[in-house]
Amino acid sequence: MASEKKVVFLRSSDGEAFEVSEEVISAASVTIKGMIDEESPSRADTAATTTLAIPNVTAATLSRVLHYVNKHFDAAAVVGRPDDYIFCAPGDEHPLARFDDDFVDVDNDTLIDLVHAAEYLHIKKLFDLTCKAVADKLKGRTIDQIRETFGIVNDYTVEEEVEVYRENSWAF
Amino acid sequence: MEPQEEDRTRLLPDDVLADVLSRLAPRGLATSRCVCAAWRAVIDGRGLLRADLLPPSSLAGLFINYGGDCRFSCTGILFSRPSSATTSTEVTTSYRMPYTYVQDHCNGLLLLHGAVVNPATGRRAPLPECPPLPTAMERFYREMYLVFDPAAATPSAEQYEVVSIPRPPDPDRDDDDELEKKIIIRPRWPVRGPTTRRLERSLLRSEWPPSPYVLDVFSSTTGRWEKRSFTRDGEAAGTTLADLQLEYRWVPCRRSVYWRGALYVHCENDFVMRISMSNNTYHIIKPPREVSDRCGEIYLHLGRSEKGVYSALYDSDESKLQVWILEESSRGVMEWILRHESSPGLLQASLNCRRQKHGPWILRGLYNRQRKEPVQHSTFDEWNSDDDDSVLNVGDGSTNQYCSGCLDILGFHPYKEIVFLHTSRLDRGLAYHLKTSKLEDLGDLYPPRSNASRIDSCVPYTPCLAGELPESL
Repeated sequence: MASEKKVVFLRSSDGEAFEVSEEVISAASVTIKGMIDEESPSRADTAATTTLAIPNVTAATLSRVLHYVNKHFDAAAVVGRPDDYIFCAPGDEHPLARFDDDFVDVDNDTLIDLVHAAEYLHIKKLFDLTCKAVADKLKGRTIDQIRETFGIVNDYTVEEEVEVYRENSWAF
Repeated sequence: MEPQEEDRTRLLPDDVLADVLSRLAPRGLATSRCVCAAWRAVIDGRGLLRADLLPPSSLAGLFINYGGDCRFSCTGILFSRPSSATTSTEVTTSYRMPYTYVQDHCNGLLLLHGAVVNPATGRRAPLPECPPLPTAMERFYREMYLVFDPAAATPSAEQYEVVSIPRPPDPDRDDDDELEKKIIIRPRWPVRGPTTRRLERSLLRSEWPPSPYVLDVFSSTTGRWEKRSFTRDGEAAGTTLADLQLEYRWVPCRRSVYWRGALYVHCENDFVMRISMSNNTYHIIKPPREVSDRCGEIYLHLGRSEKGVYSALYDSDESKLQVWILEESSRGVMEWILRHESSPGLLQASLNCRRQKHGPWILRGLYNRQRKEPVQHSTFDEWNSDDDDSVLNVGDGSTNQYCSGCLDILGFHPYKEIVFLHTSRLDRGLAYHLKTSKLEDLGDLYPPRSNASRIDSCVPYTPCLAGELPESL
């Protein structure tokens, strides 16, 4: 039925199910669209709703991703063309630009989880947004600050470290 | 010990990590290369750090502006190694330097009168005239400094800025110097208003530099001069404009250094102003303790070298060179630390030192201006300690020959701890190596068939292939 919106359930790695409009999630996630397309012949004649397992994403992350997806890809919720805001000059107030800033203003673990989820679910806009946010956390930081921020262990030998520092010493 | 935190980025596949890192400017990438081996592998494996966007790393030579009766023909001359000895890093362009004074250099860009040029790419962008100074400061003259960091910007957003610093005028300078006004190539002398001979009293009594300090800054992004207000961070210099006028010393050209996002400008009384371009503040750095009680004609020479911001002073009484390096103390105060002090008798020693092995450096752009001689860029040889023939240990002074004149500082080698010097008669250029205390003769500095009598200023030139300037030559 065209008037009634179809929904799908997404089950996170820790077993929680989330409801989302099929149309919205198909527009957002290439991965889920593929899953739905695979399922559709078998469910055409049943009334049961589909539940898709998302084994790589936890409930906490999945709920964030869906919050993002609903903001960005639900035509009813988005003012104007969904992609318009990308072309706004920096500093222009657009509700989604503000939303995006707040969305990635999270701790590192959460952010890295979002990068993973965006990559796995193949949501390009979210992937770009989160990668940029990670890059922003690296900008203007010293080597030690970067290691500390991301808990990276310095695995260079003393000789290697001297060499790599020498090669890049112009930068710091 | 508990491992405090798991390395979250290790979980990111290389492709994703590469995507993140590719969003960084060259400086960020270079820093990231040092973080761990996996990051370096991703950056190197995908060629994220493009060589053409790296900051320049070789010295092509020194651009010299001669003074005397030769202003028009003897400016913008490149003093460099002969081209036969060039290495594989040589860059040749057909760019011909115009006849103008080289006012400043920053990472491969040159500031000329009314233009910013990149001789390595032959690109040129006009620089509009700077708006006039306020009426109370109309006797001031300006010095312009270029800010360009090819590694800070992302490839699509290369930009530079020009900062104009108002300099208090010489209080004793004669008013009727019409001739000099006419032959001005850059506005180095105050062009006086009809009525104001002296500076206003209220201005004289005011603290200098003031806070906020309003400077004219040209941005290549907007293509306009804008007034930018810089507030002082930290201690004041503690001088009024009247103090500066009292101790006025004419310095041919005050140098600047751009280092890690800040512009260091040599100011009156050997103070250095560290201007932070990103947060609109400035910081006053006092002169080295060893020179603060000194007066007379000598002044510090500011420059960039291997480890950062340096200053040097040549003491003509003892004929020795002192070099300081700027360091941040534990209390967060920037101060000059004595890095090197040469033995006395440097001038005497210069008589004995021999020419470097590749033959003398040559002056380019002087003879063949009509013939479109290309500017050749070459690197300066790393010091080779085995090659003891060509140099002399300072202090070895085996000659008692009398020598007159004195030495003057030309500038610093930007990547090696070398100070370039010249003799007052301009008969030779010298390289003094701080690490080995050795002097090297670079060759004759006197431009033939000219009436040059002095060197007004000199900038080390490091070619850079990055940096798109809007207008092609």
